[in-house]
Amino acid sequence: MHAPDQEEPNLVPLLDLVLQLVMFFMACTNFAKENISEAVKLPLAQTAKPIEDEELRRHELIYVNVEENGDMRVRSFTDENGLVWYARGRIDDVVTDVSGEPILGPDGKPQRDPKLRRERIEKYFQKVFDNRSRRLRREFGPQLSEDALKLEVAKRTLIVLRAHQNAEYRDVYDILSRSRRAGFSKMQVRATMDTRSGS
Amino acid sequence: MSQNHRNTVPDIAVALPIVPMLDLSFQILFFFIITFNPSKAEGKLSLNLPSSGQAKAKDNDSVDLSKPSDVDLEIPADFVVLVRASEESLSLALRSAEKVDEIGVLRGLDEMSSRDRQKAVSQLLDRLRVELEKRIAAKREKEGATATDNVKIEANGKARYATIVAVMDTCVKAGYAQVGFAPPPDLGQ
Repeated sequence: MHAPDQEEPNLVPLLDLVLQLVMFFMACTNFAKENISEAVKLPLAQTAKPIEDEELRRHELIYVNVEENGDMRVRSFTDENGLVWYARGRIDDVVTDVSGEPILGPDGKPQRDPKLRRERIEKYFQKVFDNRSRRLRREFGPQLSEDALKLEVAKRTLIVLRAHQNAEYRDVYDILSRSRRAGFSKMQVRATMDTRSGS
Repeated sequence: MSQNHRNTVPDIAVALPIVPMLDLSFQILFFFIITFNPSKAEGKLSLNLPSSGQAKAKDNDSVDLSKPSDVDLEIPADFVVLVRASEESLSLALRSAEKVDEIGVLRGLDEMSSRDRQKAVSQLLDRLRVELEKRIAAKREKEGATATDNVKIEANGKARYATIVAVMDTCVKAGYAQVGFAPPPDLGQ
């Protein structure tokens, strides 16, 4: 006869199963998403090609996330003086005072001005471009001409554009043309791969 | 004998504490289920803008930031796909030189069910694809089988990005090597 305390069910297979499940979810969880804004829902494209890791490794990447309302999310960077730029990672059109606090309108909401966003986007790309030029200048020394240096920066940098499917064309166009004006030329547009067969 | 030996030592239950381990495992499992967010397969569409060699503005001060950017993301292209989209309508046309060929207009999109809307839009895009394929076939007849062409997309500023990408997708499907963007005509507004 078994003692009553030996009647308990055998938990070992259950534990095995649970650990298997844990393994599965662990393997599927991707923590390295600092460049990717979850709020961005990408558009569908049937001709989208798989991302080549090799291409990403060869370039310095600038991830540009464009949200539904046109706000841009970017990564911060540190310049040669150790100053951190764009620590908050958001480039929007909220009117701010000198200390960076939003100025509230009569309705208690922050005031917005699309012109401001344009200026900020322009400044962002200029800043990043200048930062990279200076870094390359140290690498190549003073004998390289200014134009060749700019070409080299453009060659080494890839802009990854992740825009929300409901973003407006003019905001996306604005970002593209401003990065272009700063001197960048390589771009990659991200889309969700649509696996439905084309009709 | 071992049997005898075992009987002599005090009866200590040597058991792995399964239950706390299971509890812990469930906690971990719960955490991973909560954070489980399978990312959709993300793909790329390359957009190599022609390198002009240098930025147009020589220094930051010469740029008037208050103006909308007028730098064209242009690639040399024979014609432009015109997209006019709003919440309730979508029209597509092809413009080469000053000649505009209408592809089609959809109206009342906001009143359709999302299924009907998708169907209508994909039919319109198919018409565009057929027209684009015709044009590229004509070019290949003239210049050889490997000739490719570039095309530009010009949309109104309010057009949704998803629409633009769908048109871009259609152009790539039709065989165009490069797709560029023209500034929206209502950029300054």
